[in-house]
Amino acid sequence: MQKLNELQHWFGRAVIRRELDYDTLLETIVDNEQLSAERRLGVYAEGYQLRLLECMRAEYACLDALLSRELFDRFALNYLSARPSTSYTLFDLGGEFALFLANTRPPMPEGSEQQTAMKMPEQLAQLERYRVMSIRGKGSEHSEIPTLDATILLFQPNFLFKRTDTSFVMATDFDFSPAIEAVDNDQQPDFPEQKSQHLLIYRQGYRVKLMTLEPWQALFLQSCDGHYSWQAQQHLVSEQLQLSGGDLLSQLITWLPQMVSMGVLELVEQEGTIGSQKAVFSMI
Amino acid sequence: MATHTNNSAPNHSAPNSSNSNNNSNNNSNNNNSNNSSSNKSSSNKNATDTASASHLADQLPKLGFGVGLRSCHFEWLLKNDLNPAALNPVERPVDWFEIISENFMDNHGFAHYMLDRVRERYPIVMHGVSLSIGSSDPLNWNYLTKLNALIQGIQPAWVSDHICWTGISGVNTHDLLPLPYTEESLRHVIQRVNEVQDFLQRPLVLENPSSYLQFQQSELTEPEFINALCAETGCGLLLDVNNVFVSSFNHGFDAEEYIRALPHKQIVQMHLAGPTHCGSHIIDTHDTEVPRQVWQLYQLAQQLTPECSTLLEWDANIPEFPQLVSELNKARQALTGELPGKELHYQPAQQNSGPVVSTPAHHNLQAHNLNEHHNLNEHRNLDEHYNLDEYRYAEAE
Ligand SMILES: [Fe+2]
Repeated sequence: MQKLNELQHWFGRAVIRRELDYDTLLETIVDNEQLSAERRLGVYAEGYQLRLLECMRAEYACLDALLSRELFDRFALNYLSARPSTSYTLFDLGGEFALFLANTRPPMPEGSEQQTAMKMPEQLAQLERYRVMSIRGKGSEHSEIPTLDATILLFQPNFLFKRTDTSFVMATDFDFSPAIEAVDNDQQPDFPEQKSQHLLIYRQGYRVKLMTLEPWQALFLQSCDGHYSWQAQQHLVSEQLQLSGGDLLSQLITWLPQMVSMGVLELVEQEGTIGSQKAVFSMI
Repeated sequence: MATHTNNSAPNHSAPNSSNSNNNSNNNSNNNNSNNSSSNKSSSNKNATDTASASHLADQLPKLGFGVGLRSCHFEWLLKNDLNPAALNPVERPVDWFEIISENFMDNHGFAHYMLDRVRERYPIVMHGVSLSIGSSDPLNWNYLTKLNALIQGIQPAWVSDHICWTGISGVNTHDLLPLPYTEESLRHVIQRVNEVQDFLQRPLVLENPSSYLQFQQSELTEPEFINALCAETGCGLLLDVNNVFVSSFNHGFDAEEYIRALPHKQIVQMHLAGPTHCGSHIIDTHDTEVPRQVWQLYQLAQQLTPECSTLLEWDANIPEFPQLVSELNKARQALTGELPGKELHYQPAQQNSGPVVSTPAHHNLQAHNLNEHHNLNEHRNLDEHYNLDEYRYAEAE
């Protein structure tokens, strides 16, 4: 008699890897006229694959709708067999799908149109993953959102901002928003138009939204990790994008408070300066 | 494949230390008339004491009739039952809700907000799918720690999972896999249930699974296994009546005899659901109405365990909330002696051509709800450019 551990490894090989050991099948599983041992085991093997595939189709619904079902399933099944779930939650199941697609992308001349076209699945997968992460994050719905305006900012050049856990910035080579919207409304999406853009995925009032960004906005948000003052970030952005510091400043002081009120950014409480930050807000 | 490395046991509290957050129904807003004060007698006792003192079915609250909390019903709940303008504290559509624990772990978004709103008005029971109590892998303490945190936050009436295993070598199949009913696996499960109960400081409630195969080496029947498990650990039983029906068909045993053989005093909850008949076997799909045969077994089970809390499971092709409630109300009807539902038979003509998947671990809190999928023929040629076989992730360590 097999020990429990051996039996479970045997079962795991048959169901997860589909490596069925016919020699031991009948010794292990009850076989009868109603349903053979092989078909009984098959219920689990098929169920395993299809259940996880359904999860992938649900999480990457837009990609699934844009590719043929056959192609999406091939990508997803290859991913699932390369990276079986090791988590207690199905939320982690599709976590590395975008990376998998990027790593399996065939080599094409750098910067060629073909290479860009090939990047569509991985970029859309990344966008859809960010949306799910945004749905599940803590967000800012329960935080007290500070009222911020241009004057306060100008007096507080050392304020630190960071993106909330429901905000993500990414660069894409396609305009995915119409396809995402179509799928959300149960409609057939058109293939996304090729167009370089920076995209913000964020959550406001528990709704996940998309917004296109100017390059300076994307760079600023990407550098919002709570380590540099907003003024230091402003210098970095103006230097990297060769923008006039004055122009950038005038745009930033009106745009930054919007990002905070929309739940994209949060103000980081600094040791020793929390009191002064609060004092500033209480003056309003 | 090596074993999963995240499973080192934490220094958790001593097994028998008392805990004020024990297994009583802590929901102060629970105004269910079925709750008697004697049901709350288990406060401040640890799991082991509770087990030996008296039967679990007498200690845990009788919650009445409930349904699973599913994201597709959030909108209805917000507009109707949880809408202060429409709120009628006397007429609640259901008595309680069950949540899939894993859907709320690491989830801080709208689903959690909704859970908090629902909790203000209803008792909640936590039903897990990833405990893997029967696996020969070590217990996953990371999972248990997160489960415990959710328990502390939600204060459920009780916490349940399944008599099964879900994976091996660190891989999770997200399915409820059958155990061989041997002395060895019984000892293994007893030891792990005790460990988990000590850690969570509350009795576990475990569900009989539906199964599609039996192991040659099994020495015990499922009821014998369950009886011994409950007797030795004090754990409760979540009797899934539909699972008994499904397994009895698949393995050819007498479902009524099975139900009569269970430890009735340990049954704290019942599940009802609708399965799919595939001709040679029945699959637990949770996607349709409860068939007459299951209602018949439910009547018997309720005779043996009166007033047992009842939960309707519906996880695929989920109907609108009012329709779900009318299906649940058939359980109230069944208790008056009427036999609701239609007899389940194999109907090949109605069977979809696609494969049938059981849905015990339904992924119902996802972002999208797309029902139709479309082919874009002009982009099919993407397929030719990919060579997925060339790439493989390193084998899981
Ligand atoms: Fe169940």
